[in-house]
Amino acid sequence: MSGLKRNYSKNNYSKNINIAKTVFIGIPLLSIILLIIYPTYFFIKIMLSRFDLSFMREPVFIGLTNFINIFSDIYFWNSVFNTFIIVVFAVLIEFALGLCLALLLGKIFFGGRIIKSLFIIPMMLPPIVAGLNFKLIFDTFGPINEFLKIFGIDPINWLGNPFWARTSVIIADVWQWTPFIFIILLAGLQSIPEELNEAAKVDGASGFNLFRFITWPLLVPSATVALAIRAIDAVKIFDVPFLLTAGGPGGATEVLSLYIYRATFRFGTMGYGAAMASIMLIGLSLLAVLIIKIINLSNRMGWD
Amino acid sequence: MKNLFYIVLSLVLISCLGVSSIVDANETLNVGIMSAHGMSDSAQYVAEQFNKKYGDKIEVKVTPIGFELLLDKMLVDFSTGSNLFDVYSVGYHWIGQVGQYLADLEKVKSEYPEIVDPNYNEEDFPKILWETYATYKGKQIGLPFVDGTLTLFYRTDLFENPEYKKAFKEEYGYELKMPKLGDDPLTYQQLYDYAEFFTKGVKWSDGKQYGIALPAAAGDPLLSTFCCFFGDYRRSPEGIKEFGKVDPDYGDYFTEDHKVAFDPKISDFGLKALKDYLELGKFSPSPETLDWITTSEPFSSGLAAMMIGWGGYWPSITAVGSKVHNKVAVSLIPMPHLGGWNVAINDNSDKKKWAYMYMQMLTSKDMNKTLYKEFTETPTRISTMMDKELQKDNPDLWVMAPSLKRVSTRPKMAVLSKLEHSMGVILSKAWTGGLSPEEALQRTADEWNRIVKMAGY
Repeated sequence: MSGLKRNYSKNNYSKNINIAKTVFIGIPLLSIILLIIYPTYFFIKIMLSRFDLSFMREPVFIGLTNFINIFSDIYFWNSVFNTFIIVVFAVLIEFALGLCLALLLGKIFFGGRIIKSLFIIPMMLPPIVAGLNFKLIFDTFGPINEFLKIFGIDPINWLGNPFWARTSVIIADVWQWTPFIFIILLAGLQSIPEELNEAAKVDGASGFNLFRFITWPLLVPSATVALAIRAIDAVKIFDVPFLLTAGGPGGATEVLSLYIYRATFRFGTMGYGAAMASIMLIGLSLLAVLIIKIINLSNRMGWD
Repeated sequence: MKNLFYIVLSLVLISCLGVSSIVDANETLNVGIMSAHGMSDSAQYVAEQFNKKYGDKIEVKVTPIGFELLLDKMLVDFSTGSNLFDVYSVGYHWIGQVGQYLADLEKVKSEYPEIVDPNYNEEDFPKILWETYATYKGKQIGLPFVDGTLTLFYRTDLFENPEYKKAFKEEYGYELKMPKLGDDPLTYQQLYDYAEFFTKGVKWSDGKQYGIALPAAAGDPLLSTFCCFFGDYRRSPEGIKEFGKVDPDYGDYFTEDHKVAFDPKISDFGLKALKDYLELGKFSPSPETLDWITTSEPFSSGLAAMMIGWGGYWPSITAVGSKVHNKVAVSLIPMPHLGGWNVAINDNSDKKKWAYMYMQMLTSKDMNKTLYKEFTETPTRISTMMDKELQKDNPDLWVMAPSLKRVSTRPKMAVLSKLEHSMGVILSKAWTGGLSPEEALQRTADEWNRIVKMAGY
């Protein structure tokens, strides 16, 4: 009887294990199929198809035609150029400012927490709010021009001149994302053991030499991670140019994401938009791989 | 056994809930309306009236949708067949992009003759509105809902000031006078002179002063406003001789045989129009940044003597608290441009009968007056535009009917968004100084020809 009972519970156990296996593997597998594999398949299908929403209900396979057309699309290359300019300048300025702020505020003890919290506020705001905010600030009759008037400087056509429009987008991005770099660098700075600085001081190192030979080398991992994340994120910039300049004037601030959005939803050319998005995805992946290689992140993180 | 009973009971309950939700879904008529100019308020008001009458059978639910999102939403909804909304408000210039997904209203009416209101009176809509808003490729695809024409707003305290009138006459040799009801519209030369005079001919403001606020921001503002200037040449006797008649589906930017009419290779009218536009822009605060909303800001804040904007902006411009409150009147610009909206049925909808009944109520003769009174919803019916009592209470109303007698229109083409975008990128460079007017216009024309050819027109 006890043998039977044992056999029964053994059978029951293996049955339960099988059910558990089915549930625990099946549900995630189904989720992956639904959430990753099918959308990816659909994305690939669309980018190799003509799918103009204005007159097509089903995509029609056209192979690589969308990609061939992209290479002769002046608006695409214009948007790539704009994205490049905005990303390079915005990220470099954000990095320089973030580093200065981290070095400066890292040493403030009185009221430091409040000041640091205040610096983080721009990053917490939705980019759409930042865009609207700067649209008012950079208006021809806005506060910046009023401020410049005090010093006898003529009003600047911030949003109507290609150079100033790009500058406005960069300023808005710098305002919003410098805190991000600042937080990462501050954390990096705080992780540097104080003993190293003290030892260097004993050896007679001055302020700049302390930074050059102690702080900076130890800050490089945090700095490169901050730069990498920020650069990849900045390439996807959309909200600020969309609200601030709508890509104008004369396409001077039409960034890649904005043009992809227009091609996909405004022109209704889903296939073409998907093809451009895939190029952006490849570009971003290459950028990520390049950054990882440069900073040797895989070794540091033990990914090999 | 007991467990089985509970399982069956649960399944029955779940099925009932599911069925009831499906029944509920079937009894809702979803209406997606642009959330501006009181359009969604009007649609909501009529929905309430409709629900009072037919609420036991169907309920109308109105969802306001922002201008920027509406076209995207429609395109995705129509092409995927997801049927999010049964009725949409459609900008007439989008008809080319979505027209094939809109129900043929003649078919709906012939299928349900009992719902057609014998007093609806289609003749009460101006012919131009019926042609542009309600029809596409010979099909009736909508009912005119909101009229919109570009209108000239001006400061009465400046234009009626005897001192300025005298100074203007001395300087320009003719009267400073804005056309009123029954007068001929302004010419562009007059508009230019007025703008110049109030920019630098007379000091009327303590600080900076501009003769006009002129929209030229990339996108819809540039496309529509340039059409006012080009349309003036396009619809002139010489223009008709050069380009042929205007095809309502192609609008003023195309010749009768569907070529790009402003192409400098065809005639010099396009270049003349662009130069007129750029010249007038010298008297405006940075036109290349002015869209429909930002154009009204310098005018409302008392910095510009005139502005060109949609008639529907009258309530916000003249609101109590505005610096120009009680100091504004409207007049005809030399060549007005037509905007405006229809209401149309999603061809995928299975509630076309109810949709048509709702649209019919929304655009009926009586409702047109009510919506104008209650929500300043710019009317589409002649009876409302010409109503003497309404004209007495609303000083901006008189301009609507005469505007429609001579009005330029945009193309109703599937590639309109591409055309608008390329004009925004290339022609804008004539404003920013990146290209000469000749080069900017030629490049825009070449790009338009390429886009149109690629689309198979």
